[in-house]
Amino acid sequence: MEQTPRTSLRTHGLRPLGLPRPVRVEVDPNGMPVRVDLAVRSGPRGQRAQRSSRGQRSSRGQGASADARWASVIDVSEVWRIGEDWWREQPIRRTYFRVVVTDGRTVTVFRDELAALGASEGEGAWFEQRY
Amino acid sequence: MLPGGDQTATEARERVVERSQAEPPLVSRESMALHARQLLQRAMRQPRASRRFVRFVRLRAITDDDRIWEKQQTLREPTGDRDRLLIVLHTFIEYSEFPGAVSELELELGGLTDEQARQGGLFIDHARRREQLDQMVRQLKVRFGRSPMTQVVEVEPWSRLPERRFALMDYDP
Repeated sequence: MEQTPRTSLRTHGLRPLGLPRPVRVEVDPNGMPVRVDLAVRSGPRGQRAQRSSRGQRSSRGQGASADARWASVIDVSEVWRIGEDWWREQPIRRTYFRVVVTDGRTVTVFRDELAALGASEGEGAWFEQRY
Repeated sequence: MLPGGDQTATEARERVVERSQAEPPLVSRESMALHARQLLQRAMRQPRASRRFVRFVRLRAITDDDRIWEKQQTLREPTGDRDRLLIVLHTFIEYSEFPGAVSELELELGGLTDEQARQGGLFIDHARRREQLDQMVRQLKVRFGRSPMTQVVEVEPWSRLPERRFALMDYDP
């Protein structure tokens, strides 16, 4: 008997690149970044991390580590806002900051505005992302 | 066996069908093109299609509210070149209006033939290199149990969210 050429149904896995990673950022009274912790951390990244941070807004120390490497911000060169997926259950509202830190590096960080709404001192609401 | 049965068996031998489900449903042409590309890779890997030429391509989409979209094309010359088939699929997707978000995609390669039809000289080197790469990846797959190779693909390169622009896709010849 001839086999059917139809195969079983499968799903495809695409792994997104350029996911944001959680960072710690200190801000001035106007909400502008003044210090960024550039220590590389392991753990959840990207949207998973964002979802996690929204679920644990008050948890201090998300991404915290003993080997923190704080760098002062010497210039905020650009600020822009992005709002996407406002029609979905988990809309995205981010404020991006392109900052120059003391060692001369340019770093792009963003504040997840929805996570930041109830966060204690912005914990868990900041991410670094190459833009 | 009835002649009709023979005919059905012959038709089945001459075609391969691959399907994939999308969750969440596909809303952009780019993501649809990526799915179509993976379906093509899988279809061409099937033993029935391996080293054979394709005369007929059909792409079918089912939306999340069960509406059906379908496009098909009979090729002027049979081809076994993946890139040429990919162009056909991209053309289908690029110039079509879909009735909604696509939750299932189905690709059929039909009229499979062993015929060594004229394959343009320009394509020979490219096809040979692709075959060498595929062979190497197949060996790695035997050794490691899965293909260790991935490829970077554009998903929504215009997106303002960097994580939506590019993705890694398994390269599994």
